Amino acid sequence: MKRVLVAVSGAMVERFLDRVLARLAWADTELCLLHVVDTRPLKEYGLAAGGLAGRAAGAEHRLRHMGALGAEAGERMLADAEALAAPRLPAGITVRRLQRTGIPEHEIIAAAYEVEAGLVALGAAEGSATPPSRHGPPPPKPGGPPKFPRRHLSPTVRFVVDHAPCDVLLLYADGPAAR
Amino acid sequence: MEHPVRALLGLAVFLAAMALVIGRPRGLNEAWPAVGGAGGLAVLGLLTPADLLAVARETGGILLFLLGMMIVSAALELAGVFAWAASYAARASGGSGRRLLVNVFVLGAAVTAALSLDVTVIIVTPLVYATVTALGVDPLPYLYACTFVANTGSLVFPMSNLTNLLVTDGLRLPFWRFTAAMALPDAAAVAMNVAVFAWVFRDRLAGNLPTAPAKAVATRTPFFRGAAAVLALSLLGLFAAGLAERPLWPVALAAAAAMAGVAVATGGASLPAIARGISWSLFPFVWGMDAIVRGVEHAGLMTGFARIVLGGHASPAARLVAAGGIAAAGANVFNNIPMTLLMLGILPLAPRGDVMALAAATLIGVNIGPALTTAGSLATILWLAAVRRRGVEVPALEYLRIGAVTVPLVLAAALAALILEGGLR
Repeated sequence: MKRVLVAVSGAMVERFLDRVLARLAWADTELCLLHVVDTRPLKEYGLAAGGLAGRAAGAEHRLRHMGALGAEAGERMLADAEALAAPRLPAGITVRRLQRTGIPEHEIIAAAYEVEAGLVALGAAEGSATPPSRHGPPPPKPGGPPKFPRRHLSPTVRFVVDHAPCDVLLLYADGPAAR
Repeated sequence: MEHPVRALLGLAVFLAAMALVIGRPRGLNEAWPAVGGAGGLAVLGLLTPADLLAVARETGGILLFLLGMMIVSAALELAGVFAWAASYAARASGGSGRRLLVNVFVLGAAVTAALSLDVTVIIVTPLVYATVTALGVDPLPYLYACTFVANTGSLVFPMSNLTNLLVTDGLRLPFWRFTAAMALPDAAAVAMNVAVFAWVFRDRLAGNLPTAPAKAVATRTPFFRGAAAVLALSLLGLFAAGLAERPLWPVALAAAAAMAGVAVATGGASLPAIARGISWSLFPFVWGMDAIVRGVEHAGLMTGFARIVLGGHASPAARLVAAGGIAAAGANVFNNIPMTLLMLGILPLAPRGDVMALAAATLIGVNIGPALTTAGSLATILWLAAVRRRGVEVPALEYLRIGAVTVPLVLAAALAALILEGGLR
């Protein structure tokens, strides 16, 4: 049995899942949808509030609320992803939802080991750079080395590509549509 | 000079109180070591009951002001004013992650300037998190933007930061003279912060945000409108009181009363709900800290410190950089409130013409410096170490990295603006 681990984030759900489903042969495969609640923003809030000596009334309560909001948003994204995927998968394919908390790149790799994934799929939301165009590179400057446009991959994506124990399917935001 | 043994014991009490304030063992409230330290110094004879009363009288105006402003902020939150502002920042981004980052900076800088950094950190940051998370966007850059701009944008008005209140009150600096000196450094600090973050987070800011409308906030309720109107009037009142060089606390208390009145009259919020937004421990903390620093002064420990900060610098610019740098470092080693009080103890020893500029440099240091270790002290590092022991993996460097890149540049921009301003005058 093959297992495909798909890291689900906000941008991922709508733009990329279609393409993951279209690319793969799904016989005897399990689809694991993973969402990670990033704990760094929560810790940063806790630290910043903790630094306000004597002035942090209600901070703990708000921090718990933020944690709950993050988890809820993740559950919503996972439910959306499953709703999107289930009708397009052949009968008998199991879909698992996984939710973890921590630093997303670490948790994606940890989950890949844990489910013994044969493939990790994740979307690379475009950064602020002008991405390479499918209509060919820009004309080279005379005398200089060719200068190709680049994407800005997020630290999360770069870490996963560097550390994945299996193949990685990276889907660009400006990639071709599935159908 | 005091008896050396008594001076050393006084120093020991000071350091013990600081260690407890910073380390907060078992979540100990900071007010206890502050009050305990003041008591210890009184037992040593470094503080008399008259001193303790004098400290209460001196900090009374600031504390009443803070009480009023905490009530105003709590009511504004319950009325949904901050939630509306956060969702407006998201809607006005036009789907650009970078513009959303700038909007969060503008929101944070405005709230910090008008109401204080505490409101930005405690109230606005969770709302920005909620707004961004609802959009399904990576919240990390936006959350850091909030916690950083709370520090870097807190230079401009006396009410923007408790440290400003302590200094303007302690040195009797007029409201608008203070603001005229600090506006340029504040703008330089925030602009540098935005520029550094746009670079640091360049790979994390989505080019296209989902266009799903952020959850609408009810702005047509009588409570919302009444609270917004009282806020506008309160700020005008504070600016007018500043112009007339009158104390600010009566305006803050009147604003608090008006807010409470609007909340009750419109049925928008109950008084106990508003009272829950008040950090009561702030009052004994500030009083205790001020008393402790007074005791340290009485122990004769301040003259050496004054020599380090004020003496031996060739040019006025070097003196400002030294004051700002020492204040920033101290705010990270201790907490920025005791550091401000310590600096306040030595500023009057400077030549009269230099006091304003040195006070400005000090505030640039104690206000911006704390962003270095996020929590504004070595406490962060200790806290992180403690958390790691419990098996939660938090790389300390992850937190320090952003501050280590940002704080020196922001500090340099603000101090450069201050020096430039001095040259222009």
